[in-house]
Amino acid sequence: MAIHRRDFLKGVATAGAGIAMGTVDELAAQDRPTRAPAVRAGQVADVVVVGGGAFGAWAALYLQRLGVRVTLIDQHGPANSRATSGGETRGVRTSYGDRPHGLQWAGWATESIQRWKAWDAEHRTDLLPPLYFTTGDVIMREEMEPFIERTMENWDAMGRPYEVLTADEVRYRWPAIHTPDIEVVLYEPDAGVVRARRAIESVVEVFKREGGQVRIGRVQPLEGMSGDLGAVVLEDGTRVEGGRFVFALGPWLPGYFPDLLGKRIRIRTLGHVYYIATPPGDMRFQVPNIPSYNVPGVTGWPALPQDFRGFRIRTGGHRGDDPDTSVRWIDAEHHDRPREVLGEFFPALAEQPINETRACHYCGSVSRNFIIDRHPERSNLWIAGGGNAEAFKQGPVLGEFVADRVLGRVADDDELAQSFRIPEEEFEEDEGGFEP
Amino acid sequence: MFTQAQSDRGRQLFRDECSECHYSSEMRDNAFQYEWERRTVGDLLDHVSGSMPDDDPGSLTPQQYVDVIAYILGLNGFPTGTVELAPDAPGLATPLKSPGS
Repeated sequence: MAIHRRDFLKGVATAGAGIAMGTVDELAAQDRPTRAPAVRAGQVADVVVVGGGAFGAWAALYLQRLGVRVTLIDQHGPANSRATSGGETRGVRTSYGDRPHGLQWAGWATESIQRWKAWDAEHRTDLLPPLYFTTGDVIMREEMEPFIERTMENWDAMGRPYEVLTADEVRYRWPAIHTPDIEVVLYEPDAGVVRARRAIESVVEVFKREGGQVRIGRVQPLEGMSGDLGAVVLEDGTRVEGGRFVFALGPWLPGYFPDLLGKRIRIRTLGHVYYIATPPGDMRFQVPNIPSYNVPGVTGWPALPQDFRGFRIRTGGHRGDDPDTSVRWIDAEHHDRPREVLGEFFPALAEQPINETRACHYCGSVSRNFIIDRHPERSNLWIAGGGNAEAFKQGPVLGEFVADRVLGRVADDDELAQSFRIPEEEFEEDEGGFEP
Repeated sequence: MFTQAQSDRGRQLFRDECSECHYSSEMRDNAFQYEWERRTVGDLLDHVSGSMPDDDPGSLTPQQYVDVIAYILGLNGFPTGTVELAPDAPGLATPLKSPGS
């Protein structure tokens, strides 16, 4: 049963908590998604999503499929070069033994892998390779660590397949990998890699085909911080009205909500990603001939067809406080670290040219978990962010959860909903040089 | 296991070397304790000295690394004493589980 638009807006306007009871009942009872009618110029969207990254794009698509009219706004365009969900690739794995929410994340990541594959099956074009590649992921450590123990505990609890390998077995399977002092190896065969920028582009394209509207523009900072929001205003003065709003702004969130999120989401670290040229004609470092990998402090994966941009390695980062101006390439002064790691584990690549670099903001929440919550002073405004470097891969599931929360299909007292609340605690400013 | 003066040195080092990426409150919150509760002070020292700073691991002196660890121990409620933590001290075998937890 589709929600009636008039009822939806009426409900939004009258429900103190931003949830229209009749509307919510209808949506909650809905067991089959419907397609919303297109948002036409001059019409008011039921939901306005601000930010076209992993949170926003997937949420917009799911919201629309639940029968509401959605407008998605992005300041440069979805998957743009400054977006945290931009760039070439993201790994998808379920090894979260080092995270307090690791079991829940592992479940969502497992489901996301299936959805990424299904997305390819439904939307892949004949002209391009798939978005998702199953690479497997090999985790290598010098000794048993709680991260490894807990990851296996989670996988055992989930019934997820994995292998415990020896260093000899690693070298036998993938001779290009060296294993200096490695004593503990876990292998997750179903892990993989997603083409990040292309994935967001495709999600937004499908959203548009199904009737969604995309607007390019930067939303002005909100005036006042209480009362229901009726519209956002773009920098050119255009008002975009809506019934509910989702702000999914990645590293821009603390800037838009400084009092609420300035000390709850930290954005000042940018991760460093390098794409290393593989030797000409050498197929060892391309999928499917070598897996994704995880060694202390570093992750990466093979070069992917069709363009084979390079063998990916991610190391530490540099500081950047403003996502509008932060440096998104990596200066040569940082290049020694990836070469050192390559020399240790992939020596054939240690002296290879660096094809390209990219740096993007980590959005770490003080709770270490995603934030999907209603603004405390504006009942029809939702916050979705705090990806903690793990949101992109879970986008197909995260977006659905955001949509369900915004439409009241998941209750406030739901256990997961509670876990994604805006945390009460803050990063502290009296120690460690906090500089808001 | 460590002295107040050592912890103070570690705090200054943390500000100079670590705060680029880390808040001190991250070194004692629930996530930190979850990650480290099954490990020892020596494991933390090995981790920090082997992987930090992220882009230049091992670039601090051994004494500087243990000073940072002393600061982190203080954040986690470990009491100060009269003997400094040393890179080869017996105290490194102490479980990291916070005394207050």
